[in-house]
Amino acid sequence: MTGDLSQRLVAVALAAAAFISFLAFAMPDLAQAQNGTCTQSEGIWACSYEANSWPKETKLWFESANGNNKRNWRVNYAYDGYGGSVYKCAGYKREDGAFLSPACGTANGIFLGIPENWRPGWVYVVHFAPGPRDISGYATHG
Amino acid sequence: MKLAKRRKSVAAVVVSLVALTAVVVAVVNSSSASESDPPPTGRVVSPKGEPPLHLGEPGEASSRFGVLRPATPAAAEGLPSSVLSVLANSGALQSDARTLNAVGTVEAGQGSEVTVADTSGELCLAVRNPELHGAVPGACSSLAKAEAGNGFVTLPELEPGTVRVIGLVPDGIERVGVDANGDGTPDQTVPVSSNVYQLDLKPANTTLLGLSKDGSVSFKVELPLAAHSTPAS
Repeated sequence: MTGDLSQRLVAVALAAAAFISFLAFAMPDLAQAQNGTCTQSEGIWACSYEANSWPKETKLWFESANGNNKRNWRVNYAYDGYGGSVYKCAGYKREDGAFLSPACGTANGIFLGIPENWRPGWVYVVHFAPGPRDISGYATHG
Repeated sequence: MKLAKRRKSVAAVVVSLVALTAVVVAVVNSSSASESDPPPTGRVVSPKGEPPLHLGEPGEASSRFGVLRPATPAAAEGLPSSVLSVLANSGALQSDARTLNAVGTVEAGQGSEVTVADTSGELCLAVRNPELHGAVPGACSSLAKAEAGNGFVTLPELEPGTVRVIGLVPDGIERVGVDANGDGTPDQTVPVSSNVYQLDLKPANTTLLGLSKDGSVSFKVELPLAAHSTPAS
């Protein structure tokens, strides 16, 4: 009986792993979940979000574990994992869906300061290297 | 009885390991703190409610970028709060206060006002333009990369079918050339004013050439602007 139960548990675990893998393949947005962490100092929240081998021309949105991603962002910075050589952009979308013109470049840090009357919203970074690259974003909010 | 004794022994070992780890971490952190730079002490000029931005002394960048002037209180307080905000907030991300060592402002034409700043050893340029709806785009790079022409920012969605490029070049670069066909010679050139240039390009790959007074090429920078021919997903 114990052996049958353990076999069944293994089978369920394998099926669950296969299903999650299928979701990650079929629904890439889910694979991006929970990429951000934040720390607070003197009332300012500094948040980082990153992804390794991120596909080109695909926005990487800040995603926190609690799902609170729409915030009063002040500045969004884009970095790459190579000391500043990847062409990348820092962008922002307002809560009504309007986008600011992103800031792009190959410098070590590219930033976009967000005007007060465009807050709250969501921040993202994106790169345009020929293939997958490590990129990261850093953003602050009050 | 034996089992209870074994459990107590295991618990004692675990507690000892946790305590030892805490001691090691404390020692490492204290030694790291003693090796770090002392916190900046200059006057804070960042807007209220923003991370601190201290005033510092001009560094090496000021000798290579003539636009930079000492960051006096008057110079810093004359900067727009939106520009001070972007310079100050990068400090919050790096867990240390930023220092503004030198700064300069250039009117680059077409409504663009460009602030160049030596901030904690990085050279940053921040752009304001009425067409940006109050946003402040920009870039920060090391001194070496800025001297190599890598200190630029592009604005791909300011106007349809056009990518605006605003960049920083060192002293001695009088014009910036655009080599669109890849033959190594510029097809068009724009002047540099106080280390800053600005130009509008089509969303196609091109190369920027930093041209000295005698026309020699000091640096080449690849611009993969074809990336903006279609919107990112």
